[in-house]
Amino acid sequence: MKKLLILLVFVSQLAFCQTNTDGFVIYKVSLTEGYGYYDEEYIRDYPDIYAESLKTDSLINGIELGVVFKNHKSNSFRLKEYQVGANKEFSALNKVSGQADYYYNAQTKTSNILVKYWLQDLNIEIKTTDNWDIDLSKTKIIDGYKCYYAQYKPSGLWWEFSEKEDANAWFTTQIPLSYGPLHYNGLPGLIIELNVENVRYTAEKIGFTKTYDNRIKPLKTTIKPITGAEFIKNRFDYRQQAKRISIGN
Amino acid sequence: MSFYFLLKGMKITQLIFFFLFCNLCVAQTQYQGNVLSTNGELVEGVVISVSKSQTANTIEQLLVSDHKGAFLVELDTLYSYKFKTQHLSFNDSVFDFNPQKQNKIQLVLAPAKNSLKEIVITHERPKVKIKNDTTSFNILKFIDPSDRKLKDLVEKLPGLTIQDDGVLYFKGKVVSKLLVENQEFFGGSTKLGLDNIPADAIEKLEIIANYSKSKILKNSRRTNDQVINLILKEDKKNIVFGNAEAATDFNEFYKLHAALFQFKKKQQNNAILDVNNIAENGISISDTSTFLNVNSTLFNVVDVPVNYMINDTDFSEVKNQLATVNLKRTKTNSTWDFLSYYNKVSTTEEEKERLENLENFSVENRFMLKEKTSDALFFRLKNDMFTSKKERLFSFHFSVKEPEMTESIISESDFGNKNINTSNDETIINSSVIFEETKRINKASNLVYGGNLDYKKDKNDLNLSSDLIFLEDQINWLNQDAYRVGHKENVEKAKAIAAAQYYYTINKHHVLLFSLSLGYDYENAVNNQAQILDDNSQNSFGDSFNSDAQLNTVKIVPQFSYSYFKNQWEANFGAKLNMVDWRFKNAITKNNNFITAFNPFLYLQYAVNDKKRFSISYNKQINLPYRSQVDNYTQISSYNSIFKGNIDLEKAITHTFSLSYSDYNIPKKYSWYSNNTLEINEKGFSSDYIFDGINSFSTPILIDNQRINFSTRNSFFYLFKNFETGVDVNLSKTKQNLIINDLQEIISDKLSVFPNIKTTFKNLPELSFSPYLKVYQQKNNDIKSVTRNIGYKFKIQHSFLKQYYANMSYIHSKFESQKAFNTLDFELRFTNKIKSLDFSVVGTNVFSSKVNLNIYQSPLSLIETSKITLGRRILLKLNYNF
Repeated sequence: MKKLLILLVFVSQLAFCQTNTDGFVIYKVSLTEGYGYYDEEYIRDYPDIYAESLKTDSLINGIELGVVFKNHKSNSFRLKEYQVGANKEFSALNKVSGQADYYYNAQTKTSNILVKYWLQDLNIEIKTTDNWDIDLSKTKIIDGYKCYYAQYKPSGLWWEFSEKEDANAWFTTQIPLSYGPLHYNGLPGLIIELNVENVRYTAEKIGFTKTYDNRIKPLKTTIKPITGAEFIKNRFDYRQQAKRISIGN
Repeated sequence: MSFYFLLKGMKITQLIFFFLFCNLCVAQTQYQGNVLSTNGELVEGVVISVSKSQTANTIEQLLVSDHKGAFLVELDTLYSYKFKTQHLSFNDSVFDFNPQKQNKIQLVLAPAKNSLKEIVITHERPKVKIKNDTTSFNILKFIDPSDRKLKDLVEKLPGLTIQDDGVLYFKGKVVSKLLVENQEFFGGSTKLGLDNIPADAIEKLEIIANYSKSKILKNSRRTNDQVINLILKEDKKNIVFGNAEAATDFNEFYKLHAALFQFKKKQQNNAILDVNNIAENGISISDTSTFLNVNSTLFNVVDVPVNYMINDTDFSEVKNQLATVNLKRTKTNSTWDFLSYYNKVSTTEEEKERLENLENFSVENRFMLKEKTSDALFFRLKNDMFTSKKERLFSFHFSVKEPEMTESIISESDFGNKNINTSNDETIINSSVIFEETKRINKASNLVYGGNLDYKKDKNDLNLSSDLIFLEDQINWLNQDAYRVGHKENVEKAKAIAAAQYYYTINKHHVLLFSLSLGYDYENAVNNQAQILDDNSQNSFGDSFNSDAQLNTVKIVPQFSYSYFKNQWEANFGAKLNMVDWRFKNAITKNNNFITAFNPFLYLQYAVNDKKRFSISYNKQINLPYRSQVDNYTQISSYNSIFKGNIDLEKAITHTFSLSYSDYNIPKKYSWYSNNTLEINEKGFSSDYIFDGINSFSTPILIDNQRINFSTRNSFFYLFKNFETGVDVNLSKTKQNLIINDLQEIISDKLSVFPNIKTTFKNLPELSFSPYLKVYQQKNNDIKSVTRNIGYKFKIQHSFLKQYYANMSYIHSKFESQKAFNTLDFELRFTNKIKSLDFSVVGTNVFSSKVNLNIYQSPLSLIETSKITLGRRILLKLNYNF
């Protein structure tokens, strides 16, 4: 029986096609509107802070993200790490991708975000199955690729205390890969353009080589996963808890 | 309840059948499908697009095969379906599935022969970008296949509007020049550019506010000049491109047009040829004034021999011939620019006119036939030299214009009927030289200096003849059957100016300007008028009808101004001191005057952000009388009017206040601007009129506080998802005192409202509807008269079957309750696949009754004209783009 089972597993393994859909995507980040606080009065009163916020904007406009995919799994990562020291670099990176590791499993349609959130290690698990509202009537041609519109349903940016996260994506079935930047995965086609509030992620290059295979990280964690909704519900408590701990009661 | 009884009455078999039937009616059934490779292996991650066979292009569901190569799909059993599969390792395939015949969905994929290595995606730039003074439009986002010329494209860009005469406005302000690759195109002519540059040659369009040709002075001043700059597509650089067009109705009307362009890195060669008799202007008045604008800081060339404008509603016959060339050669630091045009216009005007004199209510009916021909030739040679420390400008203009006119009028009035013939022959020669240098003295100071020489000669010969006498109270006459008057005028003008400006930049926020201009003007005018009679001894009118006058003017104008620009604020104020030594003499009189005037000015602008902007300005101007206004001989200008200059005229003063607001918010999809001007003539020139029946005698006078004008121009525009709408509201109110025998107060109001709505649905015809209302009201003492003109324009246009384009526009215009003009135009165009050849049928004014009615009202008269128009024409047109 044991032999039969091994044979069965072996046959079923063989019965699945070995595809060449391994490679990477490079996403370029840009701002559709300045991130800085541009109120006239504020600019007049705090010209230095305003100048710094412009610097953040220009830093964000220079960031590139990579998505590497292999065996139906993907990781989203920052292509270039800044020599983070100054606050501005940190906040630019944080705005764009958060200080987190992103994993996606196309077979189980699950995104995992491993993050240290206010001194607490979290594993946020997002089922991508019902996260998108696809509108097939909205189309846009990007460099010859017919893209469809999809609105991201869950609310609240996980790294921001924003009540409403306005995220939408343009994906194309002509590149039939269900990946995207960060935790935005699971669409029936590659995300070519993703808009999260005023940040835009645009796919610039898709390669089917092993260039970024060294960035592949398998998901190995013992942290109990929580759902996106649970995180949003409790994130304020995590923060309060961290503050309490650091103050010492 | 009835449903319950229906069920109760059924047998069990019937009931089962009933439920089965219901189930069939609902017809949504879930199916499981599998994706396999040709080797029988299950394939996961395949994207499956599901569509009904009848509407294969409309995707209804998108699915992805799971790790077992399976997928679930809900289908309506009444339809058959197509499944399109996409996977990077397999060829894209399409499978048919009919739920009524099949119950198993199995998609078998053939492996792809070539595996992809890399895909690079080029993202388009955003539609509009605003950076400092530059607004860039990404043309690829706005262009559609039916756009042929730059004009078609510009009409779609938010914030840009084109007037009929080719004047282009951006955010309510005139765009003064058109550049291609940062070089002036035909001297910066907007109309030539709009009508000739192919829309598909352009990659990017920029509007540059505060445009300064001089790089040295860029930071020392705000110019308030807006220009449009076109960046061409890479494949259009270096090659010769353009178009050739021919149109005919195989009978009366024709048009031949050719445009050639070549934009190389160090050369630009452009030529336009146009011959037509369908009233198309190759060149506009605004173009010719751009030809004269050579970007001089110190000087303006003021006179140009522009031909008159033609249109298809005022003329019954029009012939227009135009040839124009613009060549540029660029070396490291210098550009030579040669511009030339030849334009010949011939027109015939047939008109019926009713002229009511509002002073004495006499009425004259005129039937007029006027034939006019005008030749104009223009040359301009310009050289710009640039280094980081010095810029030099040299320009030379030369022009000749020769208009000829013959007119025959039948005049019917209470004072008798007359047949009058007029002929006029004129030659105008103009030339001008400008030399100017801009020098960077040090980091803080810049100096501009130069000289300008102008010369103009105007020779005019006017002959009037009639079967009866005319202007009988004013001129001597003999009782002859035919009466003739000849008026010869020779005018020579020369002008020399030397000027310098010194800019001192205190820091990047504060700039001081000192300038001095020295000018000498000379004008000599010889006027000889004679009655041309059989008896030669009676021919001369005597001195009061003839003149040999000289006007010499020496002007010294020092000026000081201070400019401030920081963050959102921009301010400029200062003053000019005009010192003029003015000397006039003719055979009878002599007048010397030393005139001084202090003219302050102020400009203040506050930009709330890059979208919203307020500005206010104040300007005081002095106007000195022209030579013709002071030359006190009796001038016969037509068979019913005589004019006499007034030697006692002095300076007149005008104050202008203006307040503007503009809000150009692209992200929020609206634009709004408002421009309000108050003009007060503290002292101004007016005319003293004496009417004798249909004859008038007028002489200029100077009046205090005689005119106040308030005008407001407002425009609002909003872009919805599938349509756009806007409204323009313009109002002008003028209060003035005119001397018409005695002093009279005249209040006139002009109101015009232009709403506009246009649909922009994808793949549907574009509809636009623009009604308008114009009201002109005048109150002269207690007499009030109102003229209302209402109408609308309806336009529909659509591109279909990829290669066809059609448009139709209908214009309806009414004065009061009387229908004035009604016109229907259309175009049907077929384009070949590579878009190089257009074949079209163009109909203009197809329902026309050949008459155009207009009503004009001035403080003195009410004129109703009905003109014979060019009439109906349907032309076949062939256009070849290369």
